[in-house]
Amino acid sequence: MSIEVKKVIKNFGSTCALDKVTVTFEENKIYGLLGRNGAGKTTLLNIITNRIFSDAGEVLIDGIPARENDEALKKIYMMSEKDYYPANMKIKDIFRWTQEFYPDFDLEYAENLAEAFELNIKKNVKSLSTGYSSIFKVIIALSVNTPYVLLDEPVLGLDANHRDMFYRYLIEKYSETPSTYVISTHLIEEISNLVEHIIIIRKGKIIKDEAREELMSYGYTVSGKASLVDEYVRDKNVIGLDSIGGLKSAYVMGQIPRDKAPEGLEITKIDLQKLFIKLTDN
Amino acid sequence: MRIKTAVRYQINDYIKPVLIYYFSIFCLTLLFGMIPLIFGGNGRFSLTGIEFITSIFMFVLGLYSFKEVFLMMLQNGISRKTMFLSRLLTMASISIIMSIMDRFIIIIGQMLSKVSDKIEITGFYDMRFKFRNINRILFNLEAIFITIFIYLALILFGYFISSLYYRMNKAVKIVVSISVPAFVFILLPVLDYTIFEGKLIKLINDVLKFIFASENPYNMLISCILFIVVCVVLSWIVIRKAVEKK
Repeated sequence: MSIEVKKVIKNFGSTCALDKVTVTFEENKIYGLLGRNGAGKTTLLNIITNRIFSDAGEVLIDGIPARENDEALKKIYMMSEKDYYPANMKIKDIFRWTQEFYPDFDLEYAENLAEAFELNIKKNVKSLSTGYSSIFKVIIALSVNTPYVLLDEPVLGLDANHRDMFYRYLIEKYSETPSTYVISTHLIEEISNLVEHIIIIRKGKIIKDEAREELMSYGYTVSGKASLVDEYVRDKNVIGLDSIGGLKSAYVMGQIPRDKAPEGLEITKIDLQKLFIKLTDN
Repeated sequence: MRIKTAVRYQINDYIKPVLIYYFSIFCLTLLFGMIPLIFGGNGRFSLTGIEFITSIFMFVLGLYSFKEVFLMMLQNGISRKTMFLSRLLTMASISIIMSIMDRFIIIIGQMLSKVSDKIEITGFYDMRFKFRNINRILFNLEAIFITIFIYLALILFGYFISSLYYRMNKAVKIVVSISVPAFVFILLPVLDYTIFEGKLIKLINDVLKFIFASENPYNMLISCILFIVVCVVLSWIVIRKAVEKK
């Protein structure tokens, strides 16, 4: 049971958005789909959900070709940054219609979430702010109960409190009724502890497709007194530095040293965002 | 199962404009029909060819909200094939409903005309084919049957135009919007006059006469069916590769 993307190619004019992309989203896992602007994340998600068509390659959902296939498509829900819902439709009507299209949609749960997020479901789509527009779509995504839920920029425009609420509800939902969630976002630090598997896409190519723990072992952080840190990392591959007062953190590529850290230094796992910047930097 | 939901959604989308349309017809009939009855005088209320007004409405309904419904269907995981089939079923259902509604209004209007000579409500079909020698019930059933195809042809034509415009980019839209009327109203008469020596316009006239001026309503039916087939094929060609646009 999985979404299999096989050798998918997509060009927009002379721009290659996806170049022979092959990736698998297994069942009941939370994925982080990371990439810089224009890397091809949304294009990949749009091809999986048939919103656009690939030039070559195929997508299988639980072994069934997804292209123009209602049986396959009903297993996926995609929440997009863009509004696909009629601008004049009220949120409560959208909930009602979503239940018609996706019979497992939990209307009561959606209404409870709307109350928790203080979303007025009597409002129509066009009257919502950017944040609340994301909230209503996130609520549908959490209530839809399809085996695969794709979230493209789910926290766009959300304040810190609402983002925190979303992450908490997502974990709660996942632990109660696991599904596959694919989260495409630029807020890497916020999802770093949420996702189990990370896929990094760069210029239309998958450059990393690994479990988070595995990916985090690519580097480590050395923190401590600036002079000690400088001394320790002198002959190492440093990908970034942060300094506050006399303290310094250095982000180093390579396996975490097995020996004990020298006195006055602390060695921890690498910051995912730093690693992402290093991996996707030109 | 999903096709049923898609049809239900699209019929629901059409219900409001259809209700507003008939409410407007009802209000106008009531208002203008009551004036001569209340104030007397020589004034008469006449509504002839309600099917014409409905035909324009059907065309506009076809043009309406292609993008909105298309995006809603994409959001809910509906394939283009299901989208298209459900749209055809929706349009056929609406055409049947509106054809029956119109005939109902015409029959009521004809009854009122018998009560008062100040009110005249007649259908296009009744005017055009009044000499057909068939009984009244059969005549009304035939009128409903043929009107269904007229309405379906027009709503499909509107749908085809809106789907075609959705696929075009801004520049092509402008070019088509200018060049099509320019071709029909300027270039075609010029070509006909200079090259075809009037034969082209004569051919168009003959075709239109065959459809609209014949005493046989089945000429119109056959023409509508052909037009529907062409619109279905062209619309499917346009829609099968339609994608979300930024």
